[in-house]
Amino acid sequence: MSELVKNLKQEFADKDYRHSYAESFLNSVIATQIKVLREMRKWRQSDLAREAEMKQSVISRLENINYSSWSIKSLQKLAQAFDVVLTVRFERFKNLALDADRFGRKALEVVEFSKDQFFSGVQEAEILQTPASPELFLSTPAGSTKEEMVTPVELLVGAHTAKTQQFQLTVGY
Amino acid sequence: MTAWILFDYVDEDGRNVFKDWTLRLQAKELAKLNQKLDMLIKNPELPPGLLVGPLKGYPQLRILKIKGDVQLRPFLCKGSADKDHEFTLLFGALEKDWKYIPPNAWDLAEANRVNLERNPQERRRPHERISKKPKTRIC
Repeated sequence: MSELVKNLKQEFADKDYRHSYAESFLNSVIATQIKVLREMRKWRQSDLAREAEMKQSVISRLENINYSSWSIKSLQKLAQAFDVVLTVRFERFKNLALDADRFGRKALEVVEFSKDQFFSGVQEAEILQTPASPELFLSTPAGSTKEEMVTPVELLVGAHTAKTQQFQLTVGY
Repeated sequence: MTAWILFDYVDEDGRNVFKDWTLRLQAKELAKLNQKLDMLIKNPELPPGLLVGPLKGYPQLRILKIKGDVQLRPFLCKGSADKDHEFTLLFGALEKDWKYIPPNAWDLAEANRVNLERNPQERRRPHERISKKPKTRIC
């Protein structure tokens, strides 16, 4: 366990503290991920503005970790522009500690649909060769949490992300 | 990527100025400060808007803008020994109604930075992360 995770494990005992940390981290991560996804595509802010049908000044405002007035609608427009899925869900605080620890460009990068190997057919063959198991690992969108074991039944009620569909394919659902 | 190392400025009496300021913060403010510092250590250039500055006349100073009911404005600089891997937290200020508290916060932070440059061995020590302990529950 890293020093940061150890610190957060202790600090999150305080409710005010953990919710304030979560709010600040959320705002920081969204703004940073917009910038990372834009740079992955080699877009300027004006390019993203055009793709998302927003003003460049709005993009500039969204790409700031101190912005906090997010709307799902705006984020969905950005998701469509980047051709990635927007996932909003409630999580346990353990995941926040782990996400804070692995914060970085790599953890925020998401390929657009057209470059997603899962849909290219290459990876599908590999998935079908994977032996079925009653217990599976479920990764969060931000990265792997390998200690998180879930059953296929839990997967069925999980979020409809490409990742869960992949797991469903593995066990034959 | 190598993590950056944080230091706290200490005054001529050996007092950790930044720690003293941090100890006066409430849990909510402290959480926001620590969250920003955690990102700063991981990758200071990645989060857009994390480091603000320089301001005219203070080319070495940077601030973290931390929004909230109380607007925190911690001052810092790169280095002083290794400007590619270290930050030193120089001074803690607040901002209210577009004014800094204290009003001469930039000058005070700059004075601390100059003192640090003159005597880097004596005027800083590794950053002390302040973690509020949970309130004791009385059953």
